[in-house]
Amino acid sequence: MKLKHIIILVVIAVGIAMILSTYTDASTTANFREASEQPEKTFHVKTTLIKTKTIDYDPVKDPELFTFYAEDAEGQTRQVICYKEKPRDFELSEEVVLIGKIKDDHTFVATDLQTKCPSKYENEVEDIEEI
Amino acid sequence: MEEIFFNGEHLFVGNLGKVFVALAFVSALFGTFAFWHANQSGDKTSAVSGRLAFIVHGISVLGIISTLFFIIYNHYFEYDYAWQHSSLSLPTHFMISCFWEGQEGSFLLWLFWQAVLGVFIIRKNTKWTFPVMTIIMLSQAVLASMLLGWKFGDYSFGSSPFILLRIKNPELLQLPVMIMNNIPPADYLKVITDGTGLNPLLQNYWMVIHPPTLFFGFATTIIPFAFAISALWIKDYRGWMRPALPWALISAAVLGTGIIMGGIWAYEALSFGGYWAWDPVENASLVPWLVLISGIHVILISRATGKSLGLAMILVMLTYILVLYATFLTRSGVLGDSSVHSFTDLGLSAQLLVFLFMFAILPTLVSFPKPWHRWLFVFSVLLIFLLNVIAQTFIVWLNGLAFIAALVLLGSNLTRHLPNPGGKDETVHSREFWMFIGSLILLLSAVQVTMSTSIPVFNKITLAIAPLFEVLHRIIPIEVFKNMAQGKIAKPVDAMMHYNRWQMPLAIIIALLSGLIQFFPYKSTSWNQIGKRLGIISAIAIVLTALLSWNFHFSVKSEFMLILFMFTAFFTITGNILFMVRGLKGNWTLSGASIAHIGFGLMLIGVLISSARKEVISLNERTSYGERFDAKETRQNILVMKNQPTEMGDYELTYRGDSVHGPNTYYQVDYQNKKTGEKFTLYPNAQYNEQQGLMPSPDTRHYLLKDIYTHVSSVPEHAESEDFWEDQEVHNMAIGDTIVVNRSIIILEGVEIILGGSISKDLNGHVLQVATLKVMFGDSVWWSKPVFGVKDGISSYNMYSIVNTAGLRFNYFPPEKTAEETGGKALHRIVTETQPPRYIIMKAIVFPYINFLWFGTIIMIVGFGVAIYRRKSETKKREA
Repeated sequence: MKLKHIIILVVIAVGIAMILSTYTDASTTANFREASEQPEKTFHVKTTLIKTKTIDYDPVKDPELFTFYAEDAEGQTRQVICYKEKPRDFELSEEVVLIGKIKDDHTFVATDLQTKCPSKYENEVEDIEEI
Repeated sequence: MEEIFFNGEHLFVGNLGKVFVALAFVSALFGTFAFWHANQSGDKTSAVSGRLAFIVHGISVLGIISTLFFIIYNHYFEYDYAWQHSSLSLPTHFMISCFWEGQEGSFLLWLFWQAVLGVFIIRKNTKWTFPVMTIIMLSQAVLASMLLGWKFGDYSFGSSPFILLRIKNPELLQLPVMIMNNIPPADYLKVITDGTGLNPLLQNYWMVIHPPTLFFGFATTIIPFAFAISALWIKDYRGWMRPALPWALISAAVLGTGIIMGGIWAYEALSFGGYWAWDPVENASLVPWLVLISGIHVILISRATGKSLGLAMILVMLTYILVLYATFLTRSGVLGDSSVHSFTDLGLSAQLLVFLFMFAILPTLVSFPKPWHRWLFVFSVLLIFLLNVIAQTFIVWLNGLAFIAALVLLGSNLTRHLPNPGGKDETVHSREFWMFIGSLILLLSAVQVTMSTSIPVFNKITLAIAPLFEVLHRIIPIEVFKNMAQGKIAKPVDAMMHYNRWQMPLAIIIALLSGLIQFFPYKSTSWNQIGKRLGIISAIAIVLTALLSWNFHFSVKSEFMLILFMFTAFFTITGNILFMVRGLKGNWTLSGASIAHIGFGLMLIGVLISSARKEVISLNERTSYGERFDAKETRQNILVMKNQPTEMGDYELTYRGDSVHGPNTYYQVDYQNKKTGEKFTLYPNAQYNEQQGLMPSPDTRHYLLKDIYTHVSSVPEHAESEDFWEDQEVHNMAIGDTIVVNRSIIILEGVEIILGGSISKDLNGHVLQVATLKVMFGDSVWWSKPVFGVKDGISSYNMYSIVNTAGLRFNYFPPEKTAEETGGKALHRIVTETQPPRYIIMKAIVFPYINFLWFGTIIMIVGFGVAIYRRKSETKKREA
């Protein structure tokens, strides 16, 4: 076997290892039910913020802790404990992608989250319909 | 239906713009055909018509830009583009930024740069002019088509920047009058007085220069691509490299500058706490650059040895295809949630995808040497395209298989038809061998970033061929296959770790090689010579590494990789400096590569130290960690009460208040270094935006060897009003009683009676009762003295007393009943009011050695400049 072939083989092997690691390192999108089946694993959960329930945040006590309630696509509700500073106007967001683990039947612990405010367009469409 | 005439619309300029777009598209198509024909037949008329078409095209592109700018400048908000991306208050110098906030505008910018580049190609008259211009005009036609906005039934071909607001988004007019069938009243423009404005994040000077630079970089990648395609097309397999190399170097320099500018913008204006986050949009611009750098090295190898010609072509062509892929990723909406700043779908994703495939199979088309093979290939592609059209969807498995087949055909054509010099393979003694290894490593680095960035795309693909993965899952029951079948793979939770784990070892090898290679002259050198030089460089690099590791407390046990990384970076720097001094003997025109590699080494030092020794100094130590599992990681914000000095690491901070300038609120934070006594003030700021909430921008204290970076993470609501008191309470207190209000402990220490005359003449005849309240908040103690005054038995005088830090205001009223009347103690009335706490929650990070990154970048760009000069003059000599 020539040096050339060894190099080609090594490159291909590393390439395959890279693809595999993309999938082994990757997280999974799930709902609360699926997340509770594997409580030790971190998931991405797409949820909707429940605006009728309380959002607790006392920055003077702990600036990096706030809790709220969220509902997933299946309609399950969990209290979410998030160890981060509360984004201002979090109350306005609709869709919240939680990144974290399930804790028990009632709570989900999020280490990070992504919020999506209603885009200015959708919001205005709603306003017009209300008129 | 009766046609409505709308008052006050400036329709002429928009129509003119649309004409320019159509003209640009048609002239580009015509030019493509004319240049193609000129090359195939050598026909003079075709050549002249091609050049004419290019002139018409260039004028049209300038026309589109001028009309669009005219619309924005004159605030014609009847146009959707002006309404969405500008406003009356937008300063003129930011109007230019409107061009890259919208998708259409950024296509326009790209179109403009490629047209400019076309001028440089068309000026010369070589055998490359016609084929290269054919490719450029084809690309121009594709880009111009993105701006057409022609509707065919439900399908729209391109998206016009000249569309009217009432047509594109009639529901957004927000008219007080009910809109019937989405047709606004004739004088609707009276209501549309202002646009929605430019995203505040783009109103930053880096955002004025970063996008045009990046797009110029993207645009330049077409020239090496076009040369490589032309080489296959006209079967001059070697000659393309000499004219293409300077262009590839220009492209690498500009694209590199654009990427780093994006990093600086992120560092200076965004608040994610760094210059690089492995965000898909950043990755999408980095990958073509990595592949291009790899391609430049393989071109050099190929020119020296005659080998690896096919790889040189593939890499250079791949660069442009990856630029198109990046455009598809960021503009089709496929990234969705996974990126903070990707564009939303304009309904162009199908069109983008078709064009991406079109350019991706272009190399296969021209790699067939025989014309009838080429026609057969075109026919098969059209057939597959038609099948997709008939099925009215992307037939993923068919397209996928066809695309793989096209790649296999390209590979087999290149191996069969490219000239092979034969002879022995390069040995491990030669410079080319190690350059080749380095290029492969760069390519691997690009592959890794592409794979991980493309997760959302893979989800779409695996979802489309779900049955395959369901079968796989049945055979090998691992969860990944199930998730792939459902398209539920999400990006890694710790993206930084995921990327760094691969990229750091690859960077170590690259740094080592770029230090090593300069000491192998082209062809072969003896091991003896190499060994002696290596010894010297290694010794210097080891000393520098030891010094820096000691300074930053790197641990040999746990941070060995980082120390190795540092060594290789110093190895590159010293190796290339020594080579410049001893090897080149002052022949500076040859020093481009060395300078660029020195810059690269400096950048690595900057990246390494600033990320490995990045220190969050705003660690929150006040609260207990409780049940938090990864507490140290996430506790990075500190609460700073207004006017209350707060300890933070080596510093004492005081938040002094905020002030508003334009759209920004600036939070004044005084820093005092407890060790050195040094004082400075930072003004981290934030914009409040109804759509996105609080958008903070950091403020940074720059030193030569470090930066102190500060941004506000959160501020309380009501922070705007200074004089806002709430929660009034009346407390009946005897002397010595204690109450707790708003976390403060308050003791009524006593009440004195003072005759007003003893204080001031104006108060003659007043009797003042002064309460003394001891207020304890945190570790601090204040005395507050509210006053109640009486004249002639009538309450006349009442002066409240404020304890700012505690957010408390006190009023005093004497007891209603004396001690005798109550039969116990007299109860004084203390009225408390509280101010909502005024504070900021902020994060502060020290980035050491970050200037090495910026300085290294400049050195690298200088190196590119020298190399471009050398290769350009080489081409000129050849032409003369």
